[in-house]
Amino acid sequence: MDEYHIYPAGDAAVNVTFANRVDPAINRAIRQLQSALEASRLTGITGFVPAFRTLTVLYDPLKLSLPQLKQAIKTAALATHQHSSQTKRIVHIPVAYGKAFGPDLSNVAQHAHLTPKEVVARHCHADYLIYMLGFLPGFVYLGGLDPQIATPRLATPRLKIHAGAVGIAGEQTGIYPIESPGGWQIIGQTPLQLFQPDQQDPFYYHAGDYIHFDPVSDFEYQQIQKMVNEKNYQIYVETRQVNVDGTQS
Amino acid sequence: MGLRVNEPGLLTTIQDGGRMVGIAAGFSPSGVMDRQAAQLANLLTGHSTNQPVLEYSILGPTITFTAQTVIALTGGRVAAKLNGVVVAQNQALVVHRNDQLVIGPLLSGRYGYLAVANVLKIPKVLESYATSLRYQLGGFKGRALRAGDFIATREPAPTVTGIAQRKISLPAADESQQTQLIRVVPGPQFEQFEQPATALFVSQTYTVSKDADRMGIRLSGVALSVDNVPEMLSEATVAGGIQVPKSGQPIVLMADRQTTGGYPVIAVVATVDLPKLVQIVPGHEIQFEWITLAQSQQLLREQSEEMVALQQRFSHLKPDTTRHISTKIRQLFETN
Repeated sequence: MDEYHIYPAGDAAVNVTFANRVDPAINRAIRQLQSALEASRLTGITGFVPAFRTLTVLYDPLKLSLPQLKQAIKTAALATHQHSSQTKRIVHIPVAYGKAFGPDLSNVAQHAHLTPKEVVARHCHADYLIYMLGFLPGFVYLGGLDPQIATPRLATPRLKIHAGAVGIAGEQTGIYPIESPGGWQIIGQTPLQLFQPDQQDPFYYHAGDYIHFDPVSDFEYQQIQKMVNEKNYQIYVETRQVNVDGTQS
Repeated sequence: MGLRVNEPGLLTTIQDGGRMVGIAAGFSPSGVMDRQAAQLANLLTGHSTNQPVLEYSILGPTITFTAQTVIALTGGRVAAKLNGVVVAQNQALVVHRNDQLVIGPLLSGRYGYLAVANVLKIPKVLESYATSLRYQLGGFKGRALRAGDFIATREPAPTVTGIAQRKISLPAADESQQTQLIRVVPGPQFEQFEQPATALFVSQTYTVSKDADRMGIRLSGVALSVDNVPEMLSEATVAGGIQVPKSGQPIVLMADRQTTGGYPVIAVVATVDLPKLVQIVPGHEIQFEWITLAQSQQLLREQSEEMVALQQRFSHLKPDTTRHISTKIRQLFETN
């Protein structure tokens, strides 16, 4: 596993800190470390918060001492060497682009010197890696946006962006899982309700998963929305085996 | 049985130990600000420590109880009145049908707690009762209480034994204008700050600014230099984490904090001192003091042992016979 350091973050958490960069390999290392620690079922670990270069391990110091936790992290980090392949989980999000769904699509097209259609094609091409969630519940920090369609934020943020809005801000792309103010260039809208508070797992995705945007027509948007409202829409989640270095096996 | 809200107070919400399962998905944990006070209120009313309680700030609510039960008030000092008569804090109180509790303004401190022996009948969201005002979920309809709200509770009222002995004497809170000491451990970015900044951090006094709420407490003092602290990628935040943004004025992160942040964290408040910090009123001064992680965890262990001992003492209390009988007689009258 990549080199890491353990820094206490107060008396009930430690940060396992990897190299200071945004890198899919680091994200993979963090994800593997979390899986290995979860598998160890060590008493006293109370939660995990993965981020770009850190895995924060929350613990109860009355049940687990810091030396014990450090040892468990070392053991888990060694165990991750043994995995040769892992599953790539790709969550497909249907999106209606442009018009009322994406009022800023033409801005992005203009900035990229492309047609709106070409922007959509590029936006729907990639599998975007979820580096982390934060800022808002279910808000994904995605990597992999085509640099050609990277567009600065709006000069004046909107006071209200609808839940399900899909946007671009600089070199980031993402979805607003709940209504919020924000300055993102909104290029589309998903009919899915990403936040399901009544579910054990309130979002379809976690850090380490991928998101793929599938373009849908207005008609399909309405159809999916209807199914979502009737609670019989089945979200498409693709799984693929990939080698540890990220190549397809 | 239930609680009828006659007057809501200023920021009265239902809170518990926090929505811990949602942190990795980006949910603020929320939960009580003063964990110790909330836990004591729960123990006084016969609960375990993590049941939902009413948290109020600055001005407490006025509540009518629709049946007999046992309640307790803890946290910031108030002059609460039950049917017009002043009642004590930090002890179990029997209330009867149609009794009205006026909690009134906080005379010291920032957060107070009301626990009720009957379990509040509200749904859990992501395994927690905590109200998140930002996301409008959890607690009572995802919002602060309003006049006219009715919070139903589970029946029957649990038996709470030894009412008269269910009291705790806490060391009187320091209400003087004196600077309060808050113990801290080095934060994850401590080593990235230059020595003059880490020295100034503990040598000066900070004023708690008026921007102090459930999200965070902004402090004002002589700015700490962050000029040579490298830019960082966002990472998880923790309760009591002390971020230093470009302004050099620290912000202590609290229950409603965002789950990730990108400012360097110079220090983290020792968990045992968080209750003291959250109760400090804006305009008052604090000073930080370094302790080691081992010291901080030892203090936490001692506090936890005291809480367990208290819970055990209460669980062995014998029924208070005279009160028990008078209660029975009163109940007879109430049902007739």
